Amino acid sequence: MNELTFILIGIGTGSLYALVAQGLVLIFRGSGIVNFAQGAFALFGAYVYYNVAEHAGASLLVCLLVSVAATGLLGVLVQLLVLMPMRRASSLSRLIVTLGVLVTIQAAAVVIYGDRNLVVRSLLPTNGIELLPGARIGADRIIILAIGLVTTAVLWAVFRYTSYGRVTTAVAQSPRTAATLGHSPDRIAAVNWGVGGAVSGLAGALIVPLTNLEPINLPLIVLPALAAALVGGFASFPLAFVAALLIGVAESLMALHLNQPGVSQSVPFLVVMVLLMVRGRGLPLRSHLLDRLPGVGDGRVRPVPVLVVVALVALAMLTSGEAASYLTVTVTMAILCLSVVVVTGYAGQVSLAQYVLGGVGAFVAATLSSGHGMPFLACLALAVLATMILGGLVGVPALRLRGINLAIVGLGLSVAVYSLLLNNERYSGGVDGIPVEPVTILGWEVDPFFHPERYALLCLAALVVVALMVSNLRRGDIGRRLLALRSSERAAASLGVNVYWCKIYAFMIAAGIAALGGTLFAFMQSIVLTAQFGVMSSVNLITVTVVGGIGSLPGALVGATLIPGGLGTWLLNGAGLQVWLPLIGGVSVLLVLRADQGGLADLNVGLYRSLRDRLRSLGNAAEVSSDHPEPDHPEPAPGTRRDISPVRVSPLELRVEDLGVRYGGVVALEGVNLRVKPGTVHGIMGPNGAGKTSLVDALTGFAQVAAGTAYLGDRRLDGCSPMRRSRLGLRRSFQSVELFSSLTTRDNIAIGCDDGAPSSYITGLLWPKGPRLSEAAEAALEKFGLSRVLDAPVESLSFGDRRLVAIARAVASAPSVILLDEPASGLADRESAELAALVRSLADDWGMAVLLVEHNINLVLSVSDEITVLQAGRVLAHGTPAEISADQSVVDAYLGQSTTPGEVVIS
Amino acid sequence: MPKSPIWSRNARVGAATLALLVTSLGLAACGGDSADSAESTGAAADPIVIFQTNSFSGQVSNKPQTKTGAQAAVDEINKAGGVNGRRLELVTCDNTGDPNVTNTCIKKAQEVKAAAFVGSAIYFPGTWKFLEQASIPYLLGTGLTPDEYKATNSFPLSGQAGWYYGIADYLKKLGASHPAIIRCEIDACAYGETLLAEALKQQGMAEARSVVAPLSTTDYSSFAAAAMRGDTDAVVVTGSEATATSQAKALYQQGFKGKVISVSACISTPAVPNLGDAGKDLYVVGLLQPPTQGTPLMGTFIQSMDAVDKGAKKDELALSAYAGVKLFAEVAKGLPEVNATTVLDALRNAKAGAYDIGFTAPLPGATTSPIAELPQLKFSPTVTYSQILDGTIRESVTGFHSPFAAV
Repeated sequence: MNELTFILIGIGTGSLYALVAQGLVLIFRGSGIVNFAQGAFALFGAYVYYNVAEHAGASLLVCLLVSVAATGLLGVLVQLLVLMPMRRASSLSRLIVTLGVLVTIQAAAVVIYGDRNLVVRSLLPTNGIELLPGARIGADRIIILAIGLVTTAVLWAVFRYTSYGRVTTAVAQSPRTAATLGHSPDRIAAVNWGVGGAVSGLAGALIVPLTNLEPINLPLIVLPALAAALVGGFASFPLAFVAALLIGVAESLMALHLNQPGVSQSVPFLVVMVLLMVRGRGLPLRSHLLDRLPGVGDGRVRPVPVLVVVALVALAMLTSGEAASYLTVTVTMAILCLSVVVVTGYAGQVSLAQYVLGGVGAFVAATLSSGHGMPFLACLALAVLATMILGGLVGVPALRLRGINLAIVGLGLSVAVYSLLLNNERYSGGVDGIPVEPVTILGWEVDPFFHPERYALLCLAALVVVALMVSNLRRGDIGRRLLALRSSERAAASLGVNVYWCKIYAFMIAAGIAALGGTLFAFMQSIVLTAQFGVMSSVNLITVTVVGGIGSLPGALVGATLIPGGLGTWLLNGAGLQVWLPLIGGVSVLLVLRADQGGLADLNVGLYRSLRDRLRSLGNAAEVSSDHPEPDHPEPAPGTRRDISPVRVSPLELRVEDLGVRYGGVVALEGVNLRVKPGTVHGIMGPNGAGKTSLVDALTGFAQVAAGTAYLGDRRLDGCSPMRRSRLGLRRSFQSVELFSSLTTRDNIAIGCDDGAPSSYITGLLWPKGPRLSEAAEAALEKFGLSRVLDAPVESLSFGDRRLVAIARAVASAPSVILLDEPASGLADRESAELAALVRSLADDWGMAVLLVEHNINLVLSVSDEITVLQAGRVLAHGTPAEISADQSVVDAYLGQSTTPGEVVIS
Repeated sequence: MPKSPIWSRNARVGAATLALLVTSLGLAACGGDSADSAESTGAAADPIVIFQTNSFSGQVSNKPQTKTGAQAAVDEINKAGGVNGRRLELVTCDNTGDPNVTNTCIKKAQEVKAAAFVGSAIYFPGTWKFLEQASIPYLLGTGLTPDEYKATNSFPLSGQAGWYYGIADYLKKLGASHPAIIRCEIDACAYGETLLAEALKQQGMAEARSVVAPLSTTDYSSFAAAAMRGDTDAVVVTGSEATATSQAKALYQQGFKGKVISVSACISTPAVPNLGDAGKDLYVVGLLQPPTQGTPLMGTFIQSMDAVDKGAKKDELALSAYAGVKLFAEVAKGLPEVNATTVLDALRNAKAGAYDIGFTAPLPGATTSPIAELPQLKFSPTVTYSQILDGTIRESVTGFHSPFAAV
């Protein structure tokens, strides 16, 4: 037996992954959703095949066809009944709901079949074929490989050469545009889900005679299939097919050469992670669509409900040892769920590693207790610190990846950490586990077996402390930065938020919280078993937190009750419904997220408010209910307003010399020279594609400069990040507005004035500061007429007000130079006129150097001191408004006819 | 610095909550131990309670057949008049494979004053510590972890030690000399490999080539090929029923001509149809006689199982639960008082061969353990050697054998 044998075997293994991977790519191309339940679809298909063969006595070919059809129907039903109603939900919620589908199918199989290993007859011949001397491969693998090749070829051809393929691609890129052209995105998605499901059903029916039909392992085939689809960018069928074969070959060669526990599971993901990191981007491109995110709670701690709940839980813990044990599990899981709220709910970084990180914390604490006899509190503190460092490393991929890619890489890292450390007997203690010292706090016994109520209360106290810290984080500067990052990384960076550090910080804090929860959970046993911190539990953790409400403190607590082993188990165990708990959990995910992507906490709050309003109306209450939180800083009473005048900024000139920008082979800008003097408005005009926004992006650090340079005063801007440029006094607004949707006007502006003090990352957890507005911010708010909407959520503002908030936010730090990218886009005439006056005021009253990019020609001509006209990336003309209006080349290329300066164009 | 309103509010809430919790902790400190003794003072008419905790409905592993096996034996015994005239009552607790729920089950056993654990599965080292402190005898556990052999209240079957020493002994009888083992990555599988290595060394055989295949493996072909390399003339397939059958099928497809051997936890009669041609002549080391042996005792077992649940799996796990209840009844017979303490004393002081329930060699099997580090192995240090013949598993070498003779 030589390498070639193992390569051939690996190709056979890879062909199994390839079929599932093609289904993943197909569904993503048709609906933009990564279906984590693809392996569960294969399981469903396998059970259908089995049941038709055993009970209907049909021929195996008929069984296969029925299986394919049934799984295709399942795919259609999932799309129509579960995902279509969630079309406006965030990609995170839709990702979680596919996990809910996985759990539901798997749990249903366990309820019906238990862990029975069913005999499934194979349609394909199972004999081995000796392709080369000593190199045997099963005949069934060869046939599956051929089926995979044909499937890949057919799918590739359909998507490349047929109108259906073109329409599907169009729908995936822009559902709205495709809909206006008469193509139904829902119908296209349903068809793709149907075909994707059918492909998985085919995979399941062909695979299980080779392996076994039992509910636990087959769904996990989605992991290597995900890796293969990822390499293909979820777009290329041939690339995904080849990648699947290569993953199979890699696993096979590792079985030959690197027979160490954990390695074969880890390496494919680590390779994929490196690939993605190389391909990824630091900051998202302009084309990166803003996701609709689940709502975020205000983080307020309501004293009365908190004290009542804590009292009730403490009472239950004191009353019964059994209650104490179950509630301890729920409380420690709540701490873990809070870690998910911080990193995913607040910072918007999908992390499927939190439970595994909890295991790392438990491992460190147990090792220190066992090996060094350290006191419990010291072990706990060091475990938290050590895991925070690892959390920072886990967060590194987030610097270049986002969304689904980040989720999959996080999953891969979990697999690697679990396989190489937590489930590796060399470190985990093997079957003996890691024995730990009995838990004592300052000499007082808190052993969880003999004193379960004491240990339970200790955990409850830890939960209260963590919850208060997370509340402080949410309501202070850090929370605003994280929520800004979550809404729009670009806008956050343009306002001076250190996006990279914020991400790492979120991962570190979340890891520390996870370590605390994991250690407290693991120490419920006198011997710590790190192998219990499995990868699927990490997936389950984020799922229940989303169901509970990923953006809120109560959401974490509600989600924790859904985790087996805790309160839910206790309540159902007595009724003998234990076996149904995972199925109930899976179905709950589907129902709750379909109803409200904010989760159960949001649903409960909505219910509470509706009941409250109904009661009030019954009682003819005078006050009107409001869904807006009370302001932390109430509006000044009339007559006490300060006389707010504009703030004169430090005068700095923006000078651009020979600037060039390229996107691949496309020249976006070439040889652009201009100056923007303090106290003046420099207008930029040009047709679509002229390079106007590329100019703004290049000057603010969002696009790479290929030639030339820019100066802010005497300082050269080469190599300065967007954040750094912002701190130097260069700010911008965005064409797409990009407000921080989870925050109020006040909070949005406050981020504009945030000095980003490093100490706030620590002090903010203990004594957070409310939103503070600078003098410039107050002046901008007065000038822009936004004081009346200061505490309104920005999502509730009119479009015009949102544009003004975006500009006020940029102005809040009194920048020397401000770049406005199509600020009048979408505004009515009156609003455009008001905006023109504001822009002029920024130059005249504040002394800013204003670069104004606009399509509204009359606006530009009326407010600018000088104008540069771009065409095809080059300067076409430069001069005063009068000169530009009279320039024939400009008239021919852009204006069409002479326009009187000052006249505002009716849009 | 002016106080932030947020800090003030959260600080007040924190202070109030912590005051509440400190008060509660103080109340808890005044309380005593929550552990109760397991003494039973039951009147003669009270049933004798025995307890069973296992994963009946866990996601990863569920063994409801053990509950059926235990109940079948309880029903049989009660039909025949009970134990010392008292009815036997089985109380079950589904631990779903969760160590914390298992601890709660142990506390429950103390609360109901259970006289013994039967048909149970406890894998967690921390839990074994609590179980030992609870001082309730634990009868005929499978013996999957070292703790089962070390706890002084445990009276296990030969388990992992029996299986892997048995494999070495059986392979030597079969004339194999260069084995390989395909095992999963979890700790219990690694422990099995350690035992096999020691057993092979005792037998003077070559060290087994080890191939680690994750439990999540879809296709075992490459692992089978890795195991077959070189002069391998026997492969041990392990893990679970699902993985062992997949490994055996992969070996068959790769054209392996040597001996394929496994253990009764992985290959039981219900698994045989799944093996197809790969199961021909596959060898199995068991802890008890195969349920399909066809003896009158096995016939009664199958009949009693069917009376409780016709569809339940009749494998070694169900049989060990059934046998555990039978053993309890045998031990309790004639005791003036039946409770955890008296049963434990009887078992600890029993002479070798005092109890013969027919499913194992007479128990206790020996006065000292063949492996010093596993003291309670002495209780049932025997195994059976079987083979798949004509679609069922039957003894290929009659009777119970001690595989530790070479030790």
